[in-house]
Amino acid sequence: MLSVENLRTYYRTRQGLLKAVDGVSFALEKGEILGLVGESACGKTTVALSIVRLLPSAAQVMGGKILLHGDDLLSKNEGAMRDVRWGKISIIFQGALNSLNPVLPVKEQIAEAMHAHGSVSGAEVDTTITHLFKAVGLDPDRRTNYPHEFSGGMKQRVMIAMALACNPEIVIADEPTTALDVIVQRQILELIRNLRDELHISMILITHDLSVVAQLCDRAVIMYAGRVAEMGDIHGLFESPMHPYTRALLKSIPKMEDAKAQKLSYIPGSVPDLTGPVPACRFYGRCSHGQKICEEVDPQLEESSPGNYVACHFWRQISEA
Amino acid sequence: MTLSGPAESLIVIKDLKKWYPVRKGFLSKLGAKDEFVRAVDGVTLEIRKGEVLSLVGESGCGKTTLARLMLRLVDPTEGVITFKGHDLLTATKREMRKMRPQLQAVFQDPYASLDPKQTILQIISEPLSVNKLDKDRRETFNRVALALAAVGLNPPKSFLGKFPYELSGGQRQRVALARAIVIDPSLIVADEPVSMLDVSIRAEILSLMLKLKRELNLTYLFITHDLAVARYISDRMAVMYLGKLVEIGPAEQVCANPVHPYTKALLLALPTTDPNKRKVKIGIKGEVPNLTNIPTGCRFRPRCPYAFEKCMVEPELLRVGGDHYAACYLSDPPS
Amino acid sequence: MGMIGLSILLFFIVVAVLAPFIAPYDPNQVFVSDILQPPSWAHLFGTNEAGQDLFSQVLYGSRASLTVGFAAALIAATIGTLVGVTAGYFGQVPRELLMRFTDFFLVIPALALMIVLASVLGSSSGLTGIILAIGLVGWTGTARVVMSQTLSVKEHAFIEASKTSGAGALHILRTHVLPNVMPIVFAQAVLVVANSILYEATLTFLGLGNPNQVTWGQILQFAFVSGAITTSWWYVLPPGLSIMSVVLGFSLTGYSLDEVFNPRVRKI
Repeated sequence: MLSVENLRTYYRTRQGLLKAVDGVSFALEKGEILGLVGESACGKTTVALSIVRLLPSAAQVMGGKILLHGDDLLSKNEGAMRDVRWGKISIIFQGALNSLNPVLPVKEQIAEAMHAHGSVSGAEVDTTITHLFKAVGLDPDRRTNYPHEFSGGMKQRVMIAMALACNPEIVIADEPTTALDVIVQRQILELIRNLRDELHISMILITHDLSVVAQLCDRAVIMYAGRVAEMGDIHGLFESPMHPYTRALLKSIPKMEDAKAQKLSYIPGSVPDLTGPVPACRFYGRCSHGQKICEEVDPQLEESSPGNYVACHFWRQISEA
Repeated sequence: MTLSGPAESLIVIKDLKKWYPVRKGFLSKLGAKDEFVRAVDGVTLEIRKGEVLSLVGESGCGKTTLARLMLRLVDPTEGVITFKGHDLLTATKREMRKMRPQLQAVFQDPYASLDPKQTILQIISEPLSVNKLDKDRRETFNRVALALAAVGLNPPKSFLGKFPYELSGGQRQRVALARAIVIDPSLIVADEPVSMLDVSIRAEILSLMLKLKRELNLTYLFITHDLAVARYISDRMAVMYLGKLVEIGPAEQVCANPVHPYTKALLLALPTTDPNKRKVKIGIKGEVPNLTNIPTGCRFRPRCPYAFEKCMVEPELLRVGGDHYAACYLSDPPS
Repeated sequence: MGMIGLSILLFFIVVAVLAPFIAPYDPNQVFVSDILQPPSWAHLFGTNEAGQDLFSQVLYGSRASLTVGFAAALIAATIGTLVGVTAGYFGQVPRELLMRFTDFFLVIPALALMIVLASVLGSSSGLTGIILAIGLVGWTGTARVVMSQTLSVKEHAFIEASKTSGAGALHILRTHVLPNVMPIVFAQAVLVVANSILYEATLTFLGLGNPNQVTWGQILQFAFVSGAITTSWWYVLPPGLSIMSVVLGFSLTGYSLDEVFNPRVRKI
């Protein structure tokens, strides 16, 4: 239902043009939770902001299409986008715990979002909010409380309630559990899954935490330095990763289920500077399989198995090894 | 709980408490009892020479406060801390000056823990100059260069004149490690040293820390909320909840056979990277209560699915087996 | 904005430095036949009631005014920084004490206090009296800003790291706090210079300065006292405009520096 095609978003910085997102394509099916995964500076947040067109002034979409039910969001004007935002696609920003207005009771903040999307009477707003609070596991009586009276986990639930206030089809959540404790994180993840099952919402979950992705997502897109490295079904991704980056990433995480004396490998070097000249395959230089062609020719996304794609010149050889 | 003899222990803390008074408004001061945030509320443990002891827990459990107490950055309300047999709290200034350099730290935020106005050379040589060990410029230079080489920042000379903003997060954390080891400490307290780093870099820093431990005979107190990391890097693991230790033992054992229901919950809540293991529910409701409002009896009682009558009395750390202890009556062997 | 301010400042500083070379006459030289003359080619700004060349006076006056401005600001900035850092770094008790002390100075109108000080010190040798009067009173703004900056610097992890290495308070203040506080002190100091020049003009105008020193304020004071202020526009305009421009220059520069260094805008 949502299709991102060859998106390119660049930032104007003092050091030059930063190619934050440089040819990213993926699709979100109805009712699925899609993970957008990558480490810092891979461009995942920029993709999200490009979708809802809330980029900072230094950023600009340079090309590509974002199709919602076939309609290109990038061609809409601001007025039309405002209808789309919250009504069709809502977003929970990173560090959302801090984006609640401390001087307004939370009920008002949710009501504000609802009023912006059509006139709703005070009574309707109240019933909806009560309903929403129950849905996210909060006591509805607390809807008149101020943000500081909620704990971190509860604030996140408020943010989720707010994102659902106008019945969107798609919710984008940027690092929804990063700042939370382990047990609360688990509760929020369970909540998100339940909401998806009951309300059939489609979701894009942005995170750097692979284990969260494994727990919650149906499919995932692995991003690296502004490009898609690999994407596909979650089981395939974790059981037989194709792209050298994905494989290396999985090998660098300590896992509870493995032996204590597990060998952790790491990826030497660091992410390339996206303002300067970069190799065609962005992972070249840190990849143990890299060769001349990787430096010069852009790897295209190839279908390695039904529904799974990888952008690497040598994925076949690597997977057979 | 029995402790090993002092010959093996580097640090021994007994019944350590840190209570912060809650500042109340003028009116509520009249007649109201003083409220305290009981950040650390009676912790007894030892850190053994050459081990990596991890301290895990969620936010508010007191692990960071415990670390700061050990580093003598704050004074305890009650309790004893000894380092190599010497009482840290009653030590004279002279004694402290000798012991200080042996207790170093690495902090969580690679961006905030380095002074942006100093060069790498200045940052790493600071412990030397503060302890008046920098009389010989050439020697100082060499020691700093050696420290940089030890943490993998090569060639050292190229880094000396740089400023923090020129380095990546991983490199800054290496500088922080270099600063910690330059005065030959015995113990390093690492407070979430990899939480703010990219996932693919964490393994690098962790293996560096283990390498330094081997080469320099270090002991680590490793504080983290990430149990998988804790298990990987530590020999023993200690779990804290609301200011107290709830379980402590060999890392593998605590993770494989947790006794305390809180430890069990933490381990169950941990997201695994196996998409097939998704359906498990954790059975713990609610969130960590406020530190001013600690439940009576066992602190975990209100959230514990196994709570029974005996839990109205706060349990001590009871031996589960071998070196494994848990503060829970469930660890009582059936009589 | 800052660039305009900076250019104005540079202009005046250059003028002040080169005054002895630009000025056609000694400012105290008396031209008996040319009393209260309007501007002419011989006397670009005209003459005053004593027959002295006003152009030369204004030029030399720039030296004095700028000197007072810088010197007083230096004193004020030093006191302000010391108070601010001490109040910010150490515990609650020193902070409360110092803040009450600062409040005392804030509550009493600065000018009134300066008048008192100046009348005691003012007519002493050279410009010292005026400088002290302004410097000893004008530090409060800097103190507050420095204190709040210190409070925020204090919380940074590198301070804890320093303490862990074994550093004492003095070392930390000198090596870590001060360098990180200096940028904002600098921005503040520029504004204090502007204020000091204004205060100097005011105090001298009120007759509390040293009449033997040529400053812009002094020129205005003579104009007032001699009654020429109502008749001779050339007497009043140059010093007045000069004061205004210099203050404007410093203010513009100071505000843009503040924008650059203010931690809310820029991460420390």
